[in-house]
Amino acid sequence: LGLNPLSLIEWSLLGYVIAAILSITTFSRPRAWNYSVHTVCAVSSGIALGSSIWALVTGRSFEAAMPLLSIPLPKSVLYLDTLSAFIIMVVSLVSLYTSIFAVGYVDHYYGKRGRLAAMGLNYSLFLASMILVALAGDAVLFIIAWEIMSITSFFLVLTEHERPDVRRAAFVYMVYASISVVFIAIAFGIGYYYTHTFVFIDWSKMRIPAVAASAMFVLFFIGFSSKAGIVPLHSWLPQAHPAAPSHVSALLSGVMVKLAMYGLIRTSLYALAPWVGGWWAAVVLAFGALSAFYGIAYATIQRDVKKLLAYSTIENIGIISLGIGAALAGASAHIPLLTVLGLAAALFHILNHALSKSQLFLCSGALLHQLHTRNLEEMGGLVNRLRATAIAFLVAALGISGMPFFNCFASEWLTYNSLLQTIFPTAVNDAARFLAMIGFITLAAAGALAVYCFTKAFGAAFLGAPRSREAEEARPEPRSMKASYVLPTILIAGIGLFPALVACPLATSLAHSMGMALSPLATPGLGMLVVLWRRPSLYIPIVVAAFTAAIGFIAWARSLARTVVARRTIPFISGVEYDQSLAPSSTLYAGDALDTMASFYGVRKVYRHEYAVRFWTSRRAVVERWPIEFGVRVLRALGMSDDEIRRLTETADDFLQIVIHVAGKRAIERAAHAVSKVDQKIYGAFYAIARAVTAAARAVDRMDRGIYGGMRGIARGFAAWARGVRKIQIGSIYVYLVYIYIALILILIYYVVVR
Amino acid sequence: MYGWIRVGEDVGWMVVNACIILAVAPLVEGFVRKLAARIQGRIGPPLVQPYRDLKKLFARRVLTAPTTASDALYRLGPVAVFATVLCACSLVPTVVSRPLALSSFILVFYLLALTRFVSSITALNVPNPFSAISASREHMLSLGVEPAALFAAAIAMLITGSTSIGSEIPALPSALLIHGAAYILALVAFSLAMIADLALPPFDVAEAEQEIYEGPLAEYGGPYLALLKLSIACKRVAMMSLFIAIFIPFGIATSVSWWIGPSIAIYLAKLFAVATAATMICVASARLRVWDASRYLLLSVAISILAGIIYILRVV
Repeated sequence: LGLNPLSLIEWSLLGYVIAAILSITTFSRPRAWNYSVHTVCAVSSGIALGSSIWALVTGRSFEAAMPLLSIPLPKSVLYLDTLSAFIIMVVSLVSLYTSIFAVGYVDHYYGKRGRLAAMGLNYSLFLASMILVALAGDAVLFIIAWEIMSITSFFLVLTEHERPDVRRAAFVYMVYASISVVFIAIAFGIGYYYTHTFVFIDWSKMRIPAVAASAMFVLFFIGFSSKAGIVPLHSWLPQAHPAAPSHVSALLSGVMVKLAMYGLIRTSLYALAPWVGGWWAAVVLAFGALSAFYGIAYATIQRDVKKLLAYSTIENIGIISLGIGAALAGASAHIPLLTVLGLAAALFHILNHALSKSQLFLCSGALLHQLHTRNLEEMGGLVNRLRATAIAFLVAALGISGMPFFNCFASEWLTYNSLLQTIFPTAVNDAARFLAMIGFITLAAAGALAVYCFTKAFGAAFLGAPRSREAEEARPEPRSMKASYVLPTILIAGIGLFPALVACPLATSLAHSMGMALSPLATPGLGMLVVLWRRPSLYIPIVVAAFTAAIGFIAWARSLARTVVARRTIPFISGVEYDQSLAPSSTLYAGDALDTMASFYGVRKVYRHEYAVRFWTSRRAVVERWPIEFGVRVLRALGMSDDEIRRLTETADDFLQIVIHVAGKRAIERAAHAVSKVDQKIYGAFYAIARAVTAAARAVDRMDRGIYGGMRGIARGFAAWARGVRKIQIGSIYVYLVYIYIALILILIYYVVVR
Repeated sequence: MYGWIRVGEDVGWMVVNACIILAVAPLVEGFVRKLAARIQGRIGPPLVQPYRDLKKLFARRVLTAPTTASDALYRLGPVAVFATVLCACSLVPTVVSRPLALSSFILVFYLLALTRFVSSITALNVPNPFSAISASREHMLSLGVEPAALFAAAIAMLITGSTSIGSEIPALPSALLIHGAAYILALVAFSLAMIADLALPPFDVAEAEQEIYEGPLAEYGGPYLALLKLSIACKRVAMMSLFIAIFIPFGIATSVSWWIGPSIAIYLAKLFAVATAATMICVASARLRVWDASRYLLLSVAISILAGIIYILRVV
């Protein structure tokens, strides 16, 4: 039969195509559409998952001609080696459980039939294209698959296209995706110019001048970082990921951005391996460190749970880049062990982040599905109503914050160690060593903030008292959602407890695939990898101790828990009477970040008197508890009609920003005074609210404005230039004949003079 | 392949470390309180007062609890905090340089971060705004402490080029000849960060009793409160011990031998010396505000970066 992993993956691609066909034939019966499309997608993902694991186990590479493209091109290949098999494993693993989740999630689109057809079609083709990107062995196939991936995901982002913020998000996404493909295509073109082949897997054996290779690296880096969301080309990410349906967000954040990282690895560390320069590492490390800190800093202050997760993706892309940077440093200094260590760290983090982040997005999808809001301030107390989601969210949050015993810790640990191994050898160039140091420090800071960010997200959504009627009356999540949590939860905890089972075989087969004779696990000096495998002096004891401690303490806790609570008390707040408005809110919790790093966020510090804590908390609580209510009051006080206000609240992404835009700061302060006189209960707080709201609204992503604004400027420049060009296009055939005549004369003169 | 016997040994040493820190922690707290009182001209509580407090609290029954989102979390929270602190303590070498490989200090910091994670969740579970403020302040402090301490420790490891505590002592003098300045700067950066992480004035912003009533502790009583207090004390001693193990490891026993006896004495002497220094700072200053503390910690991050630059450029 000639069955091998590659041919099996081709069959799974066929499965996705069948799902796409099913989608456009069955959409008139939504339930049948839902079950058929998502079942076929899940089965195809299962096949792809199994065959990629098979390929990883065999450790060989497979090659096959791409049937459709071999007519126009001399050679078009599908190529499956350890790297691409690993990426395909991640893609198909995540798409397996997002497809299960989708069954319970998409029912609120049932009313709109046309949308169902488009969504199913794009969803299945999106999954297929991601696998095809990882399989592509030549530039043409890569670009085609890449574009299918961009376009299908663009339409998926656009699913709720009746909302203007979704349309804007999709547009911005398309802009960045286009930038990405332009740069990548130019870089591939340069490669073709020197090697006369599009098959980039063969480039490392050919001759490319070092300068051209460096230029290609820069182009690839810009192209892939625009698609991966590396700062400063990130601003599409926190807009597009929240706008998409949640199971698609899980794929966008968990998987699609990783394909850009895959592209960067495939081109810089494989295709261009012989020409890696030390400054390549420095560039990747610098932008990785920037993304890591920037992403998590903005994630911490978000109120929109999906935006928070999207910013955290930027952070994790930064961490993956740090690993790639270390690998590049190893390649440039000819330290193969460092290359393997850095690459293993990056790939391992790709897997771990994909698991945790997709799970978190699925949980946010469950929240959105049950509560119809993404605002953390309108949740609270859900631990009792959405118990499965709460547990899944907690496990994934522990994972993504890099907590020991959960998955991301192991890969962050490898990243730390690959950075240390970059700083240590003097063979690595000093810029890369210096930036590896900055990367190390940034990673530590980002790790500290990640704990802040995800305790905030979990606490605000699931703990405390319900802060809206939806949260109070939330119904349990559908069964398919609960089912979809099982696999990632097990994997997050399993990888966390036994990381060596994944990391060490991965490193070994990476070393083999890069043509290294040595086995990295037999070599001392490979930092943590060796410690993990040969001297698990850390892990096994910790696991043993943790289990013992856990069992002991749970037994003890049960005896503690037996104490009878005779009386419920109200919280003690310096003797002041407690009322619900004083309960902590998520913005109160994240307030210290806004205050302490005010200059980073570009906001004015509002609260100077820390010792007036009671007043401070009440103000914060009020500010965030009723932002919409407050905005409505302000607009009403400004004389806006109720109809207009309703229209604004329905369409605005961030209502308060609109309020500020409409009213202006001064007017808000005036209105706040007017309002506060009406409402004696929270008198005095409103003046502060007006200022706080202004500050919070100002804390928008500054680079978004800068970079995206700059690009708009360039686009306007091009448009102006095009309008100028139009002037010579008069539209009269006689004038064009004159142009041709002039051109002919010029050519004649050229030939006479030169020849 | 790494033998199971070695694993068993390591587990044994982990238990020993955890027990030592657990036993010493209240004593160090009593020492700090006594010393601070003496400096201020008071008599102060007896050295064993913290043990008595703990004993009394553990004997209490819990009769009241606030209305929380999850009662199970309310009950498990302090236990989990204590368990994670104990896990971190068990990895810090005290009298013998086991089981922590020097390169794995990252794990200790991340276990303490896990403690922070659990304690924040516990704090957000009770509807008290002071708990939330306390937890968020702790995160802001750690934003400065973690980078500075982690990188300073990393520099020390890079300089001595060794991966296990104690074994670098013979190599230290020659390494210091090349990287003396970097080593000293790393030591300064680490000690600044460590002092900020001790939850003592002037860095007790997260536990400020007079201001936010010790945050989450206000809603707990009886054995739960005892566990939380013990966790704070243990974490304090763990940080001090980590500093001792990384930067002043002289005299630590590297294997099971007669030297363990003197090693215990040396460890305790170093521990109380560090505690004395911390108490001096504590008595001499008033509590900082959150952003002032952050600014101070930025200084220690800057010093650790400086140490790194000097290390890379090999300037003395």
